[in-house]
Amino acid sequence: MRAALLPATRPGLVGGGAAIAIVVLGMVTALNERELAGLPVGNLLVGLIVLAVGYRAARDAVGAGSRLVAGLVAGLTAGAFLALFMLFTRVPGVSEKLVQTEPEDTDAILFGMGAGGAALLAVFGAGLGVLGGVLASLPALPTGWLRAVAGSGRLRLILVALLSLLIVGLALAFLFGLVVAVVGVIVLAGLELALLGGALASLPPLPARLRQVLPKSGAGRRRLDPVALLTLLIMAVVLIVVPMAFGQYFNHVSTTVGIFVLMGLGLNVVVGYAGLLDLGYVAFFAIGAYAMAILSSPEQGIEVNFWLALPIAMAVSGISGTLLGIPVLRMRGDYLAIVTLGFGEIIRIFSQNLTDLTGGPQGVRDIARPELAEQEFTTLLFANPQQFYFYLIATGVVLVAIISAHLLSSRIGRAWVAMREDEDVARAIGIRVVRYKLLAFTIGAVFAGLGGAIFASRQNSIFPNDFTLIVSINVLCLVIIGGMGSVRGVVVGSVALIALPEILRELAEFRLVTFGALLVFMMIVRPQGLLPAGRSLVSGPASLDIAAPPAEA
Amino acid sequence: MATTSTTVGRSAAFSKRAFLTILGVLIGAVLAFRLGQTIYDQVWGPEVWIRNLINGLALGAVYALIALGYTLVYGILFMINFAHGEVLMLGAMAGFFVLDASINSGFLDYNTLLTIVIVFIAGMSVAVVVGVLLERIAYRPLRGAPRLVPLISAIGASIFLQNAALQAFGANVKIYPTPQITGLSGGQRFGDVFVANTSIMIMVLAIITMVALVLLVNRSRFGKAMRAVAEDKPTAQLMGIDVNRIILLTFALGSLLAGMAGVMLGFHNRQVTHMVGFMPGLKAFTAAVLGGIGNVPGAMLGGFFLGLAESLGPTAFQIPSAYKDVIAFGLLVLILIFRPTGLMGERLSRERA
Amino acid sequence: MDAEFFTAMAVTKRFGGVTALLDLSLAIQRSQIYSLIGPNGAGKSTFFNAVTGFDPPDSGSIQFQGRELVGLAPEAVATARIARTYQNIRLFKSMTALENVIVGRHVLMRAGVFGAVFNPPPTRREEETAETRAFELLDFVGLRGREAEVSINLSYGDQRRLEIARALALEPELLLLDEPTAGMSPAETSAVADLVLHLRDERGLTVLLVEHDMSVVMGISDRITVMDYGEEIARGTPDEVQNDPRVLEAYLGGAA
Repeated sequence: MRAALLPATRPGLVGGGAAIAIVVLGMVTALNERELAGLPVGNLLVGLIVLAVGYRAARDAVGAGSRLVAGLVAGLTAGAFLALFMLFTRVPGVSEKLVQTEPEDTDAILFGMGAGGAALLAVFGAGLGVLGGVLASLPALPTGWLRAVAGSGRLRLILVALLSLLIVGLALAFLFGLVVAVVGVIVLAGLELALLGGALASLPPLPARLRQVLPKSGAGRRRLDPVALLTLLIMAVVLIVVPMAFGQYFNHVSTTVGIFVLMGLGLNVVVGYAGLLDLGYVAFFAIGAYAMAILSSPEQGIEVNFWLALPIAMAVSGISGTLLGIPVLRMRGDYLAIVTLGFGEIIRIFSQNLTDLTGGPQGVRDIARPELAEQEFTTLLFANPQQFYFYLIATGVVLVAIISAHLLSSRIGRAWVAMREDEDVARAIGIRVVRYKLLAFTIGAVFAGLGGAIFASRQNSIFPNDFTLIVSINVLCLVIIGGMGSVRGVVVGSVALIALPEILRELAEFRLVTFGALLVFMMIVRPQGLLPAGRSLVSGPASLDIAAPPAEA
Repeated sequence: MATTSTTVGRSAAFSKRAFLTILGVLIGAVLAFRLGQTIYDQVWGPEVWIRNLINGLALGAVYALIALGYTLVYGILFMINFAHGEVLMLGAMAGFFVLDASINSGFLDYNTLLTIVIVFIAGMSVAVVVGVLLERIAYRPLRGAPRLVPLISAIGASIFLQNAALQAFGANVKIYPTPQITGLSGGQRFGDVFVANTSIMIMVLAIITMVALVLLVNRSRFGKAMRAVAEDKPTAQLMGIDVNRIILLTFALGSLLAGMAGVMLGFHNRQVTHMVGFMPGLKAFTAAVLGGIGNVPGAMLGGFFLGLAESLGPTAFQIPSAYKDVIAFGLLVLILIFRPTGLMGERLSRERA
Repeated sequence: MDAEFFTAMAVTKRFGGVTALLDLSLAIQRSQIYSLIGPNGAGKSTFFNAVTGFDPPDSGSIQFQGRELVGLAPEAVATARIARTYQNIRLFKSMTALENVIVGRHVLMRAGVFGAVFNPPPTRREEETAETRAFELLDFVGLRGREAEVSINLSYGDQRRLEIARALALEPELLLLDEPTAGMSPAETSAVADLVLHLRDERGLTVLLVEHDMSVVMGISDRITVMDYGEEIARGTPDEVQNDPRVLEAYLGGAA
């Protein structure tokens, strides 16, 4: 039992540190404005951390007695650590420096009792720790059935169908009233039933599906799986109907996500497929955006139509990708990272200082909007003309996703993966690595250029500050969090990284802090990302510098 | 026949080299022409040149100190410690708070020199604590993972620290009251040239520190252990070196230097915000790469080189100083094209091979 | 021009002060199995790297079907239809067995960006051929049924065979095998030896073999060069080499 004491102080210290951090960052104060079951959420969060610490410490201990003791020690350590810090904040001068922590709040954490409160807090922590220990001693819940349900293709299919009916029904009801909604849902249900019947009937028994793990080349690629077809159909319906119900705000959020998906898909080609770490990817986004702006804004006197400017912007971006690639692609990985990072900064500095071309800090205004034949058409269809961007971006995303999936399953994609895994061997089988690296760079740049051009048009005016390093980092992170090399992963990553923080506005000020901590946490817990690419892209630990799970050590 | 074909092979290698040489000569010629023009037209008086030279040296000394942190960590772990700039920022913040407290308590007036020393110690200690925590929490669990994983973790840590500092200490600019500090305010006049006292302090302190560091790395037991770990971790382990401890100490050492650089920048620029670590961090990393990352003298050389280029470049070639960052990164690209392993990287890579 | 298939003439390579290859010359006829043997560090791998363009020699000439290889990049050597395997297996670890073989066919395929994105009939045909050929090759090396296996999950012997299949996917004229039986059981070893013989006899393939297993070398080689410290010490048929006193002294002496 004695042996459990010392190790238990470590999770205690970590938890205490975490609790201190959220106090110092002001999260406790901010969250205390909300109540959950009569308890202020901020304090609840601190309590939860201590509880988790007790649980964690107890899990490592053996035997019921030592579990409780470990929980007690860990909780006591955490509580005492926090209490000591809170006492420290009462030293004159300290709490003014910590702008987020109001003295009243810190006093409240000490139960308004100063040193006595600190002791009480430590005891309180110990109690929570013991509770965590008790939790750790409970027998594990049988969660097998949950996995069985989620793993079964049929059940999942039915769930997706029902969910889509619900979403579409709600959206239609919101938009056009009950009658249209009922009719719409009936029509969709009929369609789904027909497809579902076919899908369920044709779903082959498991062993025969081995074929799916084979490369999706040649014959395999053209055979459309009914499950995939149904999912696609449902997605299409949802994608078309639901956005009509979007207000200005959701439209903004969803188009932002879409633009990041475009960039993510591009960077996915560069980093995920070809294994080139590009930290200045924003440069190509900026080049696309400025090309669109300069070509279409009346300020520059060229005033080209949006639809003409779009391909030109993509081409300009692609060419700059090639041009940058030529000198730098022979460099080693880390040097490549820093040189691309520098390139991103250079482009931003130029956009800030080449006032004649880019307007400098004032930016470019009045960038063209996409017009379809006649403007009335768009206004007829969409309550809000900005909604057109949703469909434009959605189309772009679908096209780019299909293109990148096709690229990956082709001779080019195989060459990229080969080159990423072992450059020497790839060369020895005749893959011209420099050419394929350039190709990846160029394609990535074209996708980013597309995103940038649409972004410029949606924003109407762009400024150098739209193109800071943080954009590159965001895109890189969403590719990695989603799962490198995976198209679905990019979409999931964008939603997680771009949409969630946009929606959780009340926690907006803690967005980046949480984001940073989350990245670290993610790399430790699940470095392959949320939705990693199929196993043909997750590399073996020894071979490669990229995307592989850490070696067990 | 054998001879002709060998020439074919050689000429392929030769032509690439010739191309690079011609490119190099061309770039050199353009720069030399521009420099000649600047000098011939006497665009600047000598005092401008000397002033920028000294600024460049001071800036370079700071870059060199930070670059050493990058290079030490890279040399031992082959990872870019992206959060290094944030370590610097937190060191500068800590220095500010201690300085502020000592002013409020009147300690500054009581003993100025001791105050400055304490401010440095505070900045360095906080930096060391942050650096060590970084290693323990964000990097050590990822040891042996593919290269991109610790890099992302480092980026995450950097974002976290920067914004945590913003949240905890607010967005307001913290002012180092340098003019109130006798000895650091003002400067010395050498003929037409005025040199700020902080510049002198930076250069002296940085050079002493770097000499000490070189001695530490080359002479001490710790330095030997560090080089052994950098060379071959499993073997070092077999030889009885505690690899984890050495790595932790390396982080501590790098962070110490960053903390010192942070306080120096605080005194020199007088302003500290949560963003102050970013650009110097980036530049210093560039400097480390310039010198050949993983190479201790290289980092120092790269730091001074970059500082001078940034400070003298706009003067020499009559470029608006807004483009000084462009010079820094452009230089990096050029040098890496001609010397793909950095200025002093060659030796290192040959040893490795 | 003489019709030599493959000749190396006075190939010399130094690393710093160490001479890894000194004036090595050899000639291989079409459809021969030619073995390079010698103790570790004799320069066999250096020669492979010189042929494949990874580490060009300091002087000398390497001619393949009348074409000079010295000065060519590795990619160009592959295009000249020279394929190799590695002493320490180097498969694409995350790819399936089938993908490893298909990617080996890279130079025989044409599809570019257009083909990849639009999948036009020529690309489709090309992919189908690649898949069919890959299945045949896997069959040939004895990996039937394992095509969907990710390559690191294969057994050691299977990985060696897969590497040979990948090299064959290039449809090489000359195959360089770097210790193909290293670490294999006697049964597996003889299977690989049979495979190499089969390649020569049925497909007319030329093989340059580096091998430590003397039973394999003596059993299947048409010609042998024995090396020591970067220099040739003997050359000839297996019988000649086996009876050469210098070979016995320098190499076989200890082993026998």
